[in-house]
Amino acid sequence: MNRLEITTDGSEAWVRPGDQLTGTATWELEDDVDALEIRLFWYTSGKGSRDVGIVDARRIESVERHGSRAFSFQIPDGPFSFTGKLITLSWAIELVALPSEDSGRLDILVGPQPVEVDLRTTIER
Amino acid sequence: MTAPASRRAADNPFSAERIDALTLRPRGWTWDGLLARLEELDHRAAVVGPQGSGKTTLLIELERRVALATPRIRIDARDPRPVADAFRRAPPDAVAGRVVLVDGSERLGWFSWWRLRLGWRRAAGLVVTRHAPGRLPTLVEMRTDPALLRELVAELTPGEVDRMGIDLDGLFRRHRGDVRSCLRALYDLYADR
Repeated sequence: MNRLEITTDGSEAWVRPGDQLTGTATWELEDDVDALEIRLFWYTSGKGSRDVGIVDARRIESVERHGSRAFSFQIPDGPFSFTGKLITLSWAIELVALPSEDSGRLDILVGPQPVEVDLRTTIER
Repeated sequence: MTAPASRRAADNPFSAERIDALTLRPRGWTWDGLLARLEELDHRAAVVGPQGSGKTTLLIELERRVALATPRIRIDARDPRPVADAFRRAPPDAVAGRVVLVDGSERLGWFSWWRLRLGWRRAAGLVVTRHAPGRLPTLVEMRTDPALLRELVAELTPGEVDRMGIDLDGLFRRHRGDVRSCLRALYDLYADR
């Protein structure tokens, strides 16, 4: 079984919009692959149809069976991580083996605070 | 601020991605058997069943398992030019040797249907979904019943089906056997628990 892993420097799982997120992709592969790709993306889950946006990606060519690679992504201004009753928007970084699409993923939180924006809470005036 | 009165969408077992991930296949069939039957029919066949019976889910799985399949083409009833749109997504010159998969073919009129069949005549096959038999030999007929709904709910919420205390048979009746619609209703019930 392939091992594909993403870690962030300092094990940070929360980043602010505009931050530079750095980390390391590590892999142990059973078979040769064409390439690896590190992707920064957001995705929705909930009642309706799913949506996904790949914000940035780094391709690694000439891949050895075992290895690691440092990466850095500039976090965009949005969207923020949020949740509600009908939809949750989450961010993640994944390491994908091509063409098999085997992957390892690390969920991160993007927003001004270290908690996702919660649309289920109401503000009392 | 008050505490949330509902569950996070991402934690709802009836979310769209979890429903889509269900390995729904017609009762009494194995995938090998279904693919052999498709080959017998020269890859020209229809998946038949009422709304919400899992036809689209089956077509998605066929797309994955039939190595030469084109991406699915969904016929939209609101599209004023369904033939042009279908040919744009699966150009006749590009489908030679491949199997074209069409979701919602009952929405095509007779003339549109035959234009597509002629346009794709060099394709290796044509598999469509329909609400009723016709136009192509039936590959399989999708049927739903309360037992199927209970099985799917048990798969989505292991160990919780009895604890939920929901009358699934009644839900099935109210949604006239549309299992997808039942699962969407369960999303709302579960969200507010």
